[in-house]
Amino acid sequence: MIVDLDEKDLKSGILGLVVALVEIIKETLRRQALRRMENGSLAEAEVERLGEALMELDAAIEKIKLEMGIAESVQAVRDGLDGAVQDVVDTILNPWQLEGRPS
Amino acid sequence: MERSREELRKFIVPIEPSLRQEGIYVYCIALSSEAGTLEAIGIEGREVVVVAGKDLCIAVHHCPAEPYQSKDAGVVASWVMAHHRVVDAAWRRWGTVLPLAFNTIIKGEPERDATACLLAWLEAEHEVLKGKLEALAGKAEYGVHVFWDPQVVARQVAQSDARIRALEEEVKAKSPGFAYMYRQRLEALLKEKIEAMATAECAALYGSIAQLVGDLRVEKPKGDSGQLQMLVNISCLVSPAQLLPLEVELARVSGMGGFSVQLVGPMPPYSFC
Repeated sequence: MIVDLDEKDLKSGILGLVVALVEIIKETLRRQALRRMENGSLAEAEVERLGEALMELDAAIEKIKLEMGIAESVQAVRDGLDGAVQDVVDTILNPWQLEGRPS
Repeated sequence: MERSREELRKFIVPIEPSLRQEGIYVYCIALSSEAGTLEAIGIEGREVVVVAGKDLCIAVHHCPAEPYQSKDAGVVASWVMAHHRVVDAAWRRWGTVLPLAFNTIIKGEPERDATACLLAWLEAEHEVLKGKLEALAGKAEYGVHVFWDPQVVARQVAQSDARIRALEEEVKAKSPGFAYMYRQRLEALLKEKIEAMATAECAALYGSIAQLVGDLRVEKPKGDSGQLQMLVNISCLVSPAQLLPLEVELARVSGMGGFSVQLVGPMPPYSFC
């Protein structure tokens, strides 16, 4: 089987995947930071430093997406992952539909 | 039954034993004893024949006993559209139909041809099919699609919620890092409020529509329109007397800030067969 790959598309796809994963990890870190801020386990200075670091990370990721032209690629990965998770949730919530019976 | 078989001879092409693998493509069933034809509006321009039993009739065309398949999405779409065209024509002619799914094909058996199999099935299921048709008589299916604009709704929620307004004021006075973290908290709170509002609105809408129509099916929301998000997708079985109250309720929802409604129909009761 001959697989016809465009090098540019391949790089864009892999970079899109990597940046999408970085975004997901960043959002997880942000949620964790927010939880710790709300439960008072972070000092004010720590909140300030964390906020600045996350802000810089946001800006860096947006810059990479813009310069490499991979914003669409990243969104496609995120949408694909969201779709996969939604399918699993739907299957768990509506097992009867899987068997073709009305739910 | 003997008499109706004789009448059928006028409309059914005799099938030679060598063609026992011929099948019958079935479009829909109607409450009528009228045999005949719906002309050549079937898939690939096939003549649609109406086979009649005791007091039920079926719109069919003759075909090989194998499903319609193609890798060309355009071709498949044209077949599906033809299927709907026939169901629609039957619905307009007889008022109530039980649509069958695309690609429902009955094949012959060694001892009897596809027509005989079809008639035997019709006779065996007569009471069930007639009961379903009588339950659907005079009613049509309508699709209710409710959209909202999340940005408009978010602004309304932000303006009306005291805690969110207080947080917005706090953010203005904070240093950059702190302000970033507070904005995250603000966004999380706003998202929580909006999701609660969406859940409440969906439940309220479902409740009000359920009281107005004969039957309904909740479908997956899909097909966002620009920045509008589909919130509710319900298929409703509606009698003529129920239509106006439904339209009045949907007009009320449409008047709520950030909401819009699409009522699609009338169409044959695909979702209620």
